[in-house]
Amino acid sequence: MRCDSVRAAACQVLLLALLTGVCSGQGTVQVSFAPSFRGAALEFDTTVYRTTRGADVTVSMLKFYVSNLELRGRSDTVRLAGEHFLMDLSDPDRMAVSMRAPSGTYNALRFTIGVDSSLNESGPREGALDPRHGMYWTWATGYIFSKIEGTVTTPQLSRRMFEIHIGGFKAPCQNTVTIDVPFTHPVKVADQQMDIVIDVAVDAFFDADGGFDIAARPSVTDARQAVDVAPRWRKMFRANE
Amino acid sequence: MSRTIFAFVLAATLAAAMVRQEYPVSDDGIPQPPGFPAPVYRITSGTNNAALAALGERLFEDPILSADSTISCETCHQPFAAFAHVDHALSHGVEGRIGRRNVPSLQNLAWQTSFMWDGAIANLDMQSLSPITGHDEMASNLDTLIHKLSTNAAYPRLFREAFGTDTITVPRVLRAVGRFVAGFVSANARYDRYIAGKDTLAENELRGLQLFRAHCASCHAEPLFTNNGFASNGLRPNAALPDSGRYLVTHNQQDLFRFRVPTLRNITRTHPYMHDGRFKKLRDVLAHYASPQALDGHADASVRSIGPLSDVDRKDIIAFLMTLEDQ
Repeated sequence: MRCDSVRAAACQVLLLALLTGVCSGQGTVQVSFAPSFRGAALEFDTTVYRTTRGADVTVSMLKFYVSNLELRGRSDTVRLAGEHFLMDLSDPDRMAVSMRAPSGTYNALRFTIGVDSSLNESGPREGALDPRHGMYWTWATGYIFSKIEGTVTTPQLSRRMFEIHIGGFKAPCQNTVTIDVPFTHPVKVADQQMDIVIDVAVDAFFDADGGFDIAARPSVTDARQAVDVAPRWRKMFRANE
Repeated sequence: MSRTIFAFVLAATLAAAMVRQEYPVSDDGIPQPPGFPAPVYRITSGTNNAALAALGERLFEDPILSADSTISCETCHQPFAAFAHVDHALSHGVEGRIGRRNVPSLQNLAWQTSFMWDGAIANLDMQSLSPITGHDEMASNLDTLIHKLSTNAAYPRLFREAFGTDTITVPRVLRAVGRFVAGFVSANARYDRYIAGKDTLAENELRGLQLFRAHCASCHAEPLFTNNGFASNGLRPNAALPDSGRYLVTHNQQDLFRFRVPTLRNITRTHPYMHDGRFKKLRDVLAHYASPQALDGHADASVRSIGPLSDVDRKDIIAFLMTLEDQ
């Protein structure tokens, strides 16, 4: 009898341990991307923004592939999802990704803007990588990793369209960009959904590093042209805490 | 003439079925003629191979793939011309728009490692996306195309037979077309039967074969008659049609004016020749290679070293090339 109760107690402890292990072992992380221009929410199409180079721009499209998401703790790194996600920041339904993550405390998020090189040369894929989304170059094999489109006007130049399309998965035009977003306050993943909001500062694309001359280069549409433009994406992401 | 055409139509469109009787077939349904390397092409799992090829054939022949439903794949890839566009240096797409390169023949694609004259496309199933959406070709909007196919009386059933469900997606369209064209196998020319010991070649054809092996085969390697590589063959740039070739894809200086080494199978049926269709006759092509002094400065060493060829040499090489016609 005594033996049985001990066994039962042991079972209960084991069960409890298993349950809490399962429950506390994982949480849900939602990473959402919020476009902004100089700290205010970006308004597509309607608002005219002046870059530090003196060009007046409107933004009509902001799309990009996010892949290889990782949460980084002090000592460990957790890979969140092997998939590729297509973000379209003018579409409220395509601004966030949701993933399972092991419980823990994390100090930074890392991800890639782009598509893994092997997927650029393999056959057609469904879902986010379906060529139907218009993020694929047919004349040079490979995905378009990101698109920023809009209009540009300067005192010298009447209003015209600009399109910055970045792709390229092979040297010397390997244009995927790794983004590290450190958190000021560590993020705790536990039972509840953890929301991580990433600010996408479109102004940084135009203004960082001495500025991008959008009036002189309104069309970037192949991997070679994109080589010196792709690194500008590194300046655009920070945690909105 | 019409009999020859009929024979090739049969050989090509029924390639899989006909060749299957003669040769072993890969798991992907691709015939494996003797002497050929293993095919590069693979179908995706979970598909019905025969239904996939049948769907692909239907799509290949159907103008529904073009924006205004006027042009099919077959418009420019003609079955009787080894799926090239005979007598067209450049081809016309929707609304009479003119393309910028000569339409290649479609043969033995299951062994080809990249596609288009500049090798821009790395996967056969991905290839048809280019002409389907290309502005100068079919100019289709993909959302519109999927809507047209989904509301068509026949297609949902054909997609279900091939893929298990009647959902129509862009990747499914591309895979079906890819599987169909992967079945175009050229392996039954007099040359092939000669190699197999089942036929003989005439004296001039044999002499042509020897000359071919000495001067041409380093690029146009047997049995596919291409090494799947790229070469600058010494054509002077066409001022009316500027084209940097493979450089546009790799951005490597050494690839400037390099183009795909095309197969020479059924070459007699696929005139005109070269990436811009500048040569109407094979004798023009031979005259080009036999004139080292006239070659452009970018010509590869292997092309420069061909050297002068006598009239008889050229005629014999052409006689040999005629043995590459599928029977």
